[in-house]
Amino acid sequence: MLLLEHHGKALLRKHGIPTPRGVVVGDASALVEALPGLPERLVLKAQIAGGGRSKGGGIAFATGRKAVIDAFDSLRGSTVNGQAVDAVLVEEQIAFAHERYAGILIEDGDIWLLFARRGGIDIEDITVADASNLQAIALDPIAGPTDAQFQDCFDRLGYAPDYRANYARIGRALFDLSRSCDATMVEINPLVELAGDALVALDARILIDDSALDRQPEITALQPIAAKVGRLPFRENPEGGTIGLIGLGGGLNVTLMDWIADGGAQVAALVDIDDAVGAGHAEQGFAMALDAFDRHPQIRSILVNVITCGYRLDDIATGLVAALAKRDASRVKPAILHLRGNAMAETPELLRAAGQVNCASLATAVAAVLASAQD
Amino acid sequence: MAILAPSDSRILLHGIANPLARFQCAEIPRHGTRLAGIVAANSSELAGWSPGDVPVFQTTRDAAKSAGANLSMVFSAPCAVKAAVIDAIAARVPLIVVLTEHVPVHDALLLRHMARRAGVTLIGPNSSGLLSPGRVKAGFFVEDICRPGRIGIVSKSGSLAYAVMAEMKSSGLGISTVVAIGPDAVKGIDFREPLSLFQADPETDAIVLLGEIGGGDEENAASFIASSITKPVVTFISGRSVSVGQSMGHAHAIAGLGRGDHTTKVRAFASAGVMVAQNIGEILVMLKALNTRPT
Repeated sequence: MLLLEHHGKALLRKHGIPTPRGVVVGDASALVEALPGLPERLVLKAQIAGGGRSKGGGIAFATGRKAVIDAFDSLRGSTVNGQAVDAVLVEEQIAFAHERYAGILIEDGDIWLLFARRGGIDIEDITVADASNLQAIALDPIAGPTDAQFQDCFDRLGYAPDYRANYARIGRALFDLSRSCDATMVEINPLVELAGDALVALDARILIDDSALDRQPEITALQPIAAKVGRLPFRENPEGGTIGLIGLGGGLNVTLMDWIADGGAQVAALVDIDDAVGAGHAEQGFAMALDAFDRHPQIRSILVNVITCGYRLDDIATGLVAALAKRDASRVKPAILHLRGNAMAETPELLRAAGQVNCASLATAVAAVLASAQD
Repeated sequence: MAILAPSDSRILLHGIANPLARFQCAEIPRHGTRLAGIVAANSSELAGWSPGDVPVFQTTRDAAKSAGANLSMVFSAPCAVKAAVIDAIAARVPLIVVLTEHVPVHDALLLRHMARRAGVTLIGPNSSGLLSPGRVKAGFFVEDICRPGRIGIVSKSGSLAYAVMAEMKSSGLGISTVVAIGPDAVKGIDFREPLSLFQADPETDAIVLLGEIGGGDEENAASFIASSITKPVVTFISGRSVSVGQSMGHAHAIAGLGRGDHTTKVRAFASAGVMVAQNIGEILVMLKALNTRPT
């Protein structure tokens, strides 16, 4: 779950990382009410998930009451990078000497603390041109960063001595925040140096581990998760296609999408039946998927591929046969079946008795669904 | 020989409330592997089900001591996996296979770190486990979809491995051991440990490596193969037709430069002199051309 900037900044402040003074407002009256507590020079930032706001027109600078209200009216209700702007973060403008970058990231089995000499919106290009711009510290996941690691990192980046204690403080705070909030990525870009030794986080992007949301109720409450439609993992291909795929297991599903693409077609939509089978609702899962594909305007043919070891194939086949029998005959599309796995012995007879054909191999099944989609 | 788990493995099941774990109580003995016991701290875990004559222990320590268990298979709920694995590490169980998916990333990070420090082999989370046909089963894999042979398989994805095993069986190709390391970003062992063990295994002639887009495991494996593996390796990377998702932040982009997508992984393997198949059918063609002994 990617947090909105103002939620992320609240977490930064909770961990002692300074952010600009500001308020989040959803309508003009709330803005007018908040203005007396804010300075003249303000920045207004659309609160949408994802990056590229600056380049997408989601950030405006304004000075004085009228200009701020006008800027708010332009932003609120607009669309930035395809997302509607429902709320705007209004913050004091900060005069700074340098734009840096600080972040924490879990990648390749390790947790890394990142600092950059030059941050800001062009950090990726800058780092491509000069790899030394970014320094990554591999952390002990229990102990966190050490003083020696900070010293070496800050030497490489040329951070001024006066600021180093605060950089280290922020590094430790990022590590603590990441662990306590189950964040898999925290990014402050830019982290700016003010006069003296102060550092302020002008932006915050925090990604919370979806698998840990159950134990992070405060964070989950910030941004309620949209209910899953029909409780079925249904993935639509934005580029369209003519084949519906019902599979079991992500790795094989993706392999089949590749295989079908090689054959000149595309999977229009995919349902992984794993959750339904695991919950003991194979028949309902197949029925929902088949019905969705039969109604789908672009899908011309359906591939049902199940190769299982952890479940009994005959149980799954029983559910599939029942679901196939209940389809609305007026819109049934061809369904190619390939079922293999544990307790295979009973399955061919189950399918035969239901008048269904089980393909002899994956290659046969893929060829059949490609041919069927072309008819 | 079988890699990772010996033929005389004595298995402990954790998370017996999970129907998948209960099913394994029948499946493991069906494959001739010894089920040493079930760890259930609370009798409510057994609600509505009887373990038959399988011993039930309250702690992993008791199970390891009195039943000689030397392999833990963990099916516990995602947020309970950390405690189960820490107990197994503390009980000095040398091989731990975590089959649970959706384990919090920070828990996986901690467990990976603790297992390494303790010298314990951790496979997973989100692994389908391993199988050496005719010798040992410690995962979902079943002998129904494969035959014994001299080709080792290491895969991130269980389902992709199932498909390759099944197609290999149809083509008369058998396997020595199949192991799924799991697709998660943070896990115990990666491709390199099984590759190294297959290299040393006198009953494995060739290796199939099944990867997928994302992360740097495949690139790390390619470098390792170039430096340390002399047996033939056939690879396949799934996800060629899938566009890499929008980056969630600069961090992933700048920390993962030149890694992660299908092209960079294929290039890494090609540079290491590894055969890269374009689909499952090509894996079979490449394996047959190697002319490995049947068993």
